[in-house]
Amino acid sequence: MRKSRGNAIVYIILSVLGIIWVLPILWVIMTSFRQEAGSFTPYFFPKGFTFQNYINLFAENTTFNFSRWFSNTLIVSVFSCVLSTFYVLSVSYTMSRLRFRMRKKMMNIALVLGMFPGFMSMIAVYYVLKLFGISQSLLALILVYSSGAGLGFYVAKGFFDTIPKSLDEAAMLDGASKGMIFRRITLPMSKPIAIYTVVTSFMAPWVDYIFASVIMGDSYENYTVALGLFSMLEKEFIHSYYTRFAAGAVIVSIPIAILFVLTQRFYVQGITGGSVKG
Amino acid sequence: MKKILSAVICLVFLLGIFTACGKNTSNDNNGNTETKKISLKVWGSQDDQEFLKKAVETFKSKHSSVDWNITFAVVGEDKAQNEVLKDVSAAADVFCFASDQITELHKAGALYRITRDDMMVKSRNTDESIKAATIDNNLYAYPSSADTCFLYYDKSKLTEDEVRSLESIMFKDLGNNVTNFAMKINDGWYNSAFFLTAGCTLFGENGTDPTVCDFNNENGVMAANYMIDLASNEKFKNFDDAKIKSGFASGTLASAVSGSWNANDIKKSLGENFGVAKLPTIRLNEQDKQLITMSNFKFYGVNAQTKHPEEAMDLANYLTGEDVQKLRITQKSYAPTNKMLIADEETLNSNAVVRALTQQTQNSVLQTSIPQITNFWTPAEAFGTGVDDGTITKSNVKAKLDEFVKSILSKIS
Repeated sequence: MRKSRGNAIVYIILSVLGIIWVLPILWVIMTSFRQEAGSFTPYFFPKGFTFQNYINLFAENTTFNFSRWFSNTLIVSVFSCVLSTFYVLSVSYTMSRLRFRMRKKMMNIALVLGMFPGFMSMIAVYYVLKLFGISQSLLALILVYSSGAGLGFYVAKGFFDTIPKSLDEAAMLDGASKGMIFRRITLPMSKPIAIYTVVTSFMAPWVDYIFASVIMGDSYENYTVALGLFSMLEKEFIHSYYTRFAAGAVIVSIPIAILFVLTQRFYVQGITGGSVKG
Repeated sequence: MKKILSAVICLVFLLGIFTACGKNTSNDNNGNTETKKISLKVWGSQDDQEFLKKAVETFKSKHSSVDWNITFAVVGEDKAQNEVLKDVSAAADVFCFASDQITELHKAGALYRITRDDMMVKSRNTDESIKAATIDNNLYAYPSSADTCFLYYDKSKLTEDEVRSLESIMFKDLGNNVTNFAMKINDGWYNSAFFLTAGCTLFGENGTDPTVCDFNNENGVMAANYMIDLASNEKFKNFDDAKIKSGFASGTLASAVSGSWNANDIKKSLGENFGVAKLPTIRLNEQDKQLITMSNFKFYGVNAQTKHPEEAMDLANYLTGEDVQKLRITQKSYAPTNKMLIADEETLNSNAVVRALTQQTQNSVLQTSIPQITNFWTPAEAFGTGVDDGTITKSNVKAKLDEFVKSILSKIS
């Protein structure tokens, strides 16, 4: 009896928190379907619903070319996702399984470097890219988002460390090389961490504003959605474009949501259970 | 093995550098040998793009002897300073910027000194705008338009006579749920008006001395007391742009202070009842005083590193000339800086917003361009918020003003 009462209190608290958490998202979604223009309305529920905001977002591209920005971001995130996943997993495997001189020191250096915020080097990165003549291009963005990824190997390395060494040794006895062990043994068993890397690196280009704005500057055609959507909020546009901005925000969440739904089941999958016989 | 590897890496980098340089120099040569082909880039806000494109087409047809290649990119006048100073060589040849950025742009060597037709530019624009565009007796920018805030009102609720004074606006009984007057009182751009009206100055008479601000003298206390009375009145509300617009749309707001960027939206929601005027007078020390606002100008500048300074100056000159300023009045509701246009009643009367703007500009103080101004906005916001929520009262106002001034004048690194 006492237990169920305690549970009831917990459930009430949790549902209140849940509602508070969901409200802003609900509001954005409702705003994206709102018929009346304007950024502020004195009421919560829109007076009329329309799908026009979404249609206008893609159809009217003279002022804001959202479809172009959307495909830019998609391209950048797909490539940088592939590249950075490759970097992270390779570095982690190397640090976890191979033994070489400077290994410990390199790990320490990486830890210290990781403490500095990335945008500290922003202007330097801009000038380096300009030196190679690729500033204001999508290639530059892909490079910026993926090249630093190798530094973030700590989580994945920790994961690899938990895979029993005896598996590697067994494979080696059967004549597998290090590369084969990585591909055939370690990777299939570390899907959760590989997926985690994929999702986080896929998300970065969708939410990053600061690097994209420095690198793209005035190159409107190559903007990403974060830059583009923000430019809709300038004081001349915010009134007439706010509902469209909300529609854009909803659309942006779709690719990330799809990726998450597709990969989510790997998160919970058993990892090494039963692979080594006692 | 390692040595060879590092040597190879060095070589690759060097090659990269050389090829990058090589590309640039060949471009330069092309530009110089074919003198008739001129490439220029123009920066303007997103809102101005179509307007600029049309204006540039006319410019091209007037200078048809040159093969123009004029491109456009979006960098608004408020962001010009950041974008230009990030990389002057990559910035546009002609760009639009707000007048308060001129000191920093000039200091960084980003502005080309205007040497072509500068006497003409000086003579055709208002003295205030030329003064703002001049540094050490040299002209560095082309004034394009003047900007400040003014009064929007709903003609069904207030008459033209009533909006002449804030007292008569506040006095009128418009019903319980109607706000008589709204402004963003916690924003230095708007609330500085009370101090300026009372006779205070920000950074001295010329607005260029970072060690002087007398907002805490007797006049300042008077202005602050006026603000406290206003804020405690139930017919006044502290509204930002979004709330002002929705207030007019729902008919619960009679008048508000805002800028010209909201004109179209408010016009749409008020329709026939759309009214604009210069700001009202306020009653200080038994006298009706016209509210004095901060104003600034939109300038066009020429990049100091442009490859074609003469052509760039011609273009900037045209974009800020009388014809284009006139188009700005009719199409964009921008207030002119051109003397002829300001004197031209017919043109001004064709656009009520521009008329109100121009009248208010004549009752305004130029927003300073010294960097110390960055220390003004946050304390001004804090002071306005204090007035609005009642933490600043008539009994502690002097101490709060002293604090306010102290933070404005605190040294910036």
